[in-house]
Amino acid sequence: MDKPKILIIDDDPDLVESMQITLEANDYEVESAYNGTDGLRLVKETNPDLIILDVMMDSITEGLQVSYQLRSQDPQSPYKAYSNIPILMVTGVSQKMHMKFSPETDEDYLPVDEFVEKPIQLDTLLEKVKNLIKKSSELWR
Amino acid sequence: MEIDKDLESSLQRLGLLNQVAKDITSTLGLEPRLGFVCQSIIDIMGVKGVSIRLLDQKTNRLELAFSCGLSEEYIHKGPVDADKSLAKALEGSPHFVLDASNDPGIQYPEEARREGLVSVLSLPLNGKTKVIGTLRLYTGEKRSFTQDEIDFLSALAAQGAISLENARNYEVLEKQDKAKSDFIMMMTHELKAPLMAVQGLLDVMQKGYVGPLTEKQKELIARILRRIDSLMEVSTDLLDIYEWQTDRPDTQSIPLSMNKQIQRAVDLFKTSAQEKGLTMNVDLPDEDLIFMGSEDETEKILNNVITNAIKYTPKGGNISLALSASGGNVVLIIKDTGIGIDNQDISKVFDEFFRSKGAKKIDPYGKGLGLPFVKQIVEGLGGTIRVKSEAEKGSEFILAFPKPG
Repeated sequence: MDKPKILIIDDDPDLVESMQITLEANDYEVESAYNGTDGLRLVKETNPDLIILDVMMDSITEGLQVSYQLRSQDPQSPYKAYSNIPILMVTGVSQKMHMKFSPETDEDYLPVDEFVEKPIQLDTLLEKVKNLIKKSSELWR
Repeated sequence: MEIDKDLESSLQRLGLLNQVAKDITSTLGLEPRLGFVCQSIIDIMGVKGVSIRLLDQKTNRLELAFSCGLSEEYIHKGPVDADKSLAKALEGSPHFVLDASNDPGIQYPEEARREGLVSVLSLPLNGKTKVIGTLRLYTGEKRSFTQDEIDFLSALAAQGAISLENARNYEVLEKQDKAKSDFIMMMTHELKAPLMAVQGLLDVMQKGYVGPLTEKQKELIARILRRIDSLMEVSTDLLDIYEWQTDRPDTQSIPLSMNKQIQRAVDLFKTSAQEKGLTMNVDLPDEDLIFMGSEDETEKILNNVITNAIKYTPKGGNISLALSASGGNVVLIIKDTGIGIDNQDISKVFDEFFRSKGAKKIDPYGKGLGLPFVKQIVEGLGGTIRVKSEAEKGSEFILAFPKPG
């Protein structure tokens, strides 16, 4: 069976490196992009099984913008085919001050499936990745 | 009929004075109130125009805050220098000019003439400690003002000045507040993001993902990670203290269940305690004990005291948390069998940057900001924190929070 594909969209190359090494060592195939635009392009090109997305990149809301675009309800959306790919959002401490969001209470605000807080514990990351991919593959059987 | 007119005039003046006096404590909607005052002055005094100018300390210019009855052209005639324009008013007394087009006290006589302004009365706006600007009345023909009128206008100016000062201070505070928030957000990102990136890379190495490590390499990496942890803590503590320095930031206090808050914190630290070979037990009453606070603040308090208990209790020890209600307060007692605090140091544990010898031995890199910060938050919530301890035996922290109502 093919290795599950993960796309990381995060502007910190060191963070991307640590996540990539960890994921690849655990039998995932990993692609990465360092900004929203490249990220969206790679979603279309690689059709990943999971997207790991940083909330804040160049601008405070770049990550949010990417998630809104991917999950856009617009029937004409260029990302319609990709709107079911699970998204794991990476949040930093500073975001907590201004945005309280959790998948349970704020689904209206932020269309992502799960969160992982920085500093990222590699074990936590692996567990969440595993669960999201499992959940998503079960849904689409 | 003269008497009636006088009475009516007095009533109007008193009414306006009263209105402005009431407004002193309100700091919002300044412009419409200024507009109302200006227009009222024009009506009551029968003058052509009114302007309120505020002194900019840095440029020594009088900046327009509001005006009525004056054309755009006249308003924007040019910068009004404090020492060239009706300077006496800024010294604290009313300054009257009978013919504006002909008086050295007027900075723009030509413009005044063109605008049809003849006499000008300038009154100081006396703030709490200094003159903050001027209130000016402009007439359409030569006219002088009676002492009565000047007295009334001075009283009006005095009241208005305080109102304006309050509004200004509020604005300055709001700007400072925003600048502080922005700074914190930026520093959090700039300080912590690189640290987290470094932690990530070291973690990867430590887990052997990029090749096996020798024992010595593992040791050095562990040491580096400890220093980074400590740096992260210091950054967090510093930023937290900075954020909380003046008063509680914009957090709403809501009724919270201390039981739930404690359970959540304990769940968070269960694993760390276990890993260190410590037992942790919690004693919560059956009923929910409610206090007023915010989740953020409570999290910070509990995480801090529990982290300390774990840090300073050697392997095999015990940490216990007990919650109870006592005399109108919700009381949490957290006990540990750790290194304790020397008698001579007990009074200092809540001092910023204080670290006992014992604490330094266990964590040479801590900065001593945790407890002072906890105390600040606890007291911000109207609570108290005390400590009882015996060296080598353990410590007991007693936190009390007032029940709502």
